[in-house]
Amino acid sequence: MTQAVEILKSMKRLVETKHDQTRDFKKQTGRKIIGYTCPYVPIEIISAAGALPVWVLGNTGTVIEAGGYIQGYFCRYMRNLFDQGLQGVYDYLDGIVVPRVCDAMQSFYEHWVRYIATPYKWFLQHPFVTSASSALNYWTTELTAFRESLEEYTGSPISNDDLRSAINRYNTNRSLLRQLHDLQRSNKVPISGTELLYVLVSGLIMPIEEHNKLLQELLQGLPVRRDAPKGKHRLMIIRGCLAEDAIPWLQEIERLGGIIVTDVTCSGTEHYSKDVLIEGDLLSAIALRYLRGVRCPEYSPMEPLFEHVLRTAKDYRVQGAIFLLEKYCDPYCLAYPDLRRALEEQRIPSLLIETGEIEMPLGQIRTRTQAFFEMIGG
Amino acid sequence: MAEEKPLVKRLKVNEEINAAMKKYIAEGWRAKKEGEKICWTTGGGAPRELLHAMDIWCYLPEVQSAITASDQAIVQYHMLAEGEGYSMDGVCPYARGNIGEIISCRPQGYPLGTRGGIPTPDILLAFKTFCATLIYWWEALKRRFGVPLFVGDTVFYNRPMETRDVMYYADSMRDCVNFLEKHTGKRLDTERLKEAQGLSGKAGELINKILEMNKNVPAPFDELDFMGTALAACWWRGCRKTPWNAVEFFKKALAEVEERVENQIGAIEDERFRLVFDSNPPWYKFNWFGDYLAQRGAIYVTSSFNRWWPGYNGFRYGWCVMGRDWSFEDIGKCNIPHWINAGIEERIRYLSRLVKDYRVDGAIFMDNRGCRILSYAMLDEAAYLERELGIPTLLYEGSMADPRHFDEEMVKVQLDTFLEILEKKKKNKRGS
Repeated sequence: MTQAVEILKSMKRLVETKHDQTRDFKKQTGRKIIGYTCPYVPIEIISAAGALPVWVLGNTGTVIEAGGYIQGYFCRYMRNLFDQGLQGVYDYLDGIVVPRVCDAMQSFYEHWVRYIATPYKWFLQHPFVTSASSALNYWTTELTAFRESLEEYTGSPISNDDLRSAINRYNTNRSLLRQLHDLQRSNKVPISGTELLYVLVSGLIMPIEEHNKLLQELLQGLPVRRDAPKGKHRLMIIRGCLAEDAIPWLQEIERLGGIIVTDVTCSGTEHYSKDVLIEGDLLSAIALRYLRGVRCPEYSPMEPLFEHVLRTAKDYRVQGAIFLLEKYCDPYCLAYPDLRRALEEQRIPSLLIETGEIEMPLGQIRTRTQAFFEMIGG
Repeated sequence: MAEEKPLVKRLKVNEEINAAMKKYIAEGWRAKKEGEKICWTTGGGAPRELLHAMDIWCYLPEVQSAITASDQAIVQYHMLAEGEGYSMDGVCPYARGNIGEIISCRPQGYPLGTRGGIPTPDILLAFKTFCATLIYWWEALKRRFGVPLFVGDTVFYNRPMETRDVMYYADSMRDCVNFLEKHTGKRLDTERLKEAQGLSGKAGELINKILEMNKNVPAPFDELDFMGTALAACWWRGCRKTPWNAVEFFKKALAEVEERVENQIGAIEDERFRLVFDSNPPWYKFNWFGDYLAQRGAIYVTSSFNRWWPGYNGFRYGWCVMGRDWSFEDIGKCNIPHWINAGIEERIRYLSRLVKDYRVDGAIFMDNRGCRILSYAMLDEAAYLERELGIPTLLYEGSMADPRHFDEEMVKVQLDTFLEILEKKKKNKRGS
């Protein structure tokens, strides 16, 4: 078995045992664990404060308790996160940080702070209009307040050296992920979409230095991988957050002959596309990256997202796009018809798979995906 | 038999709205023909006073969708939007109604609506004071019409207001003025804006006086019936021209209500249960709902909805409370804590106040599948009212503008059961 395959397996194991791993890490290091929910949270600041940022991620569990607090017509993903919180799955968190993104995320935060006893809570007022004249200034002052609150909570100041060092660690991680993503451009794709998901998710929950080491080893091993995936149809996945709950769907799509070569998702390309540019004031540099370096359909203007989708599809020579959309996701539901049309104009067909509270049976996904693959041919 | 009892005595002033609206649309066409810029703007949070002060004709698609729903005509437009991929479950029914109307305009070139054609926009204006959906919707309109869009921002009110929050809002307002001046070629006359603001403030005072009247027993008007005046409050506040002058309109409304109070005329006969309502009303069942309750001795005496525009004592909301002396920062201080923009704690505080002040017997919530921002705290609010104030609550499922999400027979059963609970509680209280 090649080194690359070994590393991919270890990342999968890490994801599958993430809660135990994080509990052990906390016990061994004594470091605080701060949960966050979205790529708009500047994890460099959390890391610079000495805490471990851990992305709170959706799973395949059925929403049970959360139904008593948040109605069924809210985004299933957010209800699932809240449900996990109520069930104590994330009881090791010392804090939770949530940005102002969509109404569902706001609701999630409001309910988490009301019903789950997490010691540190912070709501980041991210500007809704990323191009507004005062957005950067406001966002920088908001991040200054966030930094101060973390300093107060941890009892130790965050120096500029701490910040610079954290920025470097995360920039390295993003750069390595981009290198990995670049390999997917080739005709012989070295890694499947499902494997890539484990690579990404493991980085969202473990100390970033360790993830960087694993990524470096993986990048060395992948070019000589002998059992590379053999999918026929080059695909792009478009979704809010790509987490473990998507694994059964991705596996089915790839089993039928698809190969996911790229994505436009919060935990995928949006998470690692852009670096923090270390220039001038570090907090302003972080603010700029988190204001305009992430492109989701939550904020205005939306042209950067549309451009990103079309450019990514072209660069990765995708033959089809699969919208794996949460049934009650307001931003994507309103952007979807125009995104689909924009892709069609570039002769890229798409398939919509709605995911909701009652999960679509895999059989239905199979039939529709097969029909889609027949349509795109090749 | 309950069915034989009289229905709600409706406010006569509402009858004026239809005729005024017709004239307003005609005024829009005049403006379009003469080359003036037409603005489509959000009903929630956008600075109407600014548009009136600059004589920019504005159209409110959210309000139009409410009208179309009350005309029982919206589903055909929903289906057109759904045919283009706008999900029935995922997209706000107001947005689907509006987008469907736009699709229906082919080949006329303008949306028909149910009250005649509407001039298409030259500029778009949205404010993130109510829901995030408005921003996604207006972005979709920008892509469809290819015209400039301005989006203003209001931070979420779930913590004490910081100076930076207020300044950020004020900056948004200044950017908005620059945008309007650039794209309409008109200059803002600050005296005109003060006048519009003064008119808006006056309209707010009048609305507040009217709403206060429902503290009387019997209540002189049905709060649901009064929601019909939202068009005047939302669209025409700050406008000085007759018949769209909101001050003139609400003076008439106040006189009508005062007369009822003087003569001890209640909006329903035999008022037994005083209720508070939370959410948008189901516009397609607008009159049905009030009448069904009236026949059973129940009436909505207060609501969160009617307070969206003028605020409430101790809860300074929206534009209507500003008066002539103001700054953009002051406006921010009023808009940031708006009910719809507020966290769970603030919503509970506010609803509890209404329950106490209006001597409410029960609370009815529409569990509104069409509006997540209105509904997200409902289960918490209902639990609080039951637990802390001993107020029975009912949540029925519906949607403000999609009748396919409303099951009339099921709601009737729920209402009957709820009223039985209130009756029992009343008897127990008398017995003790």
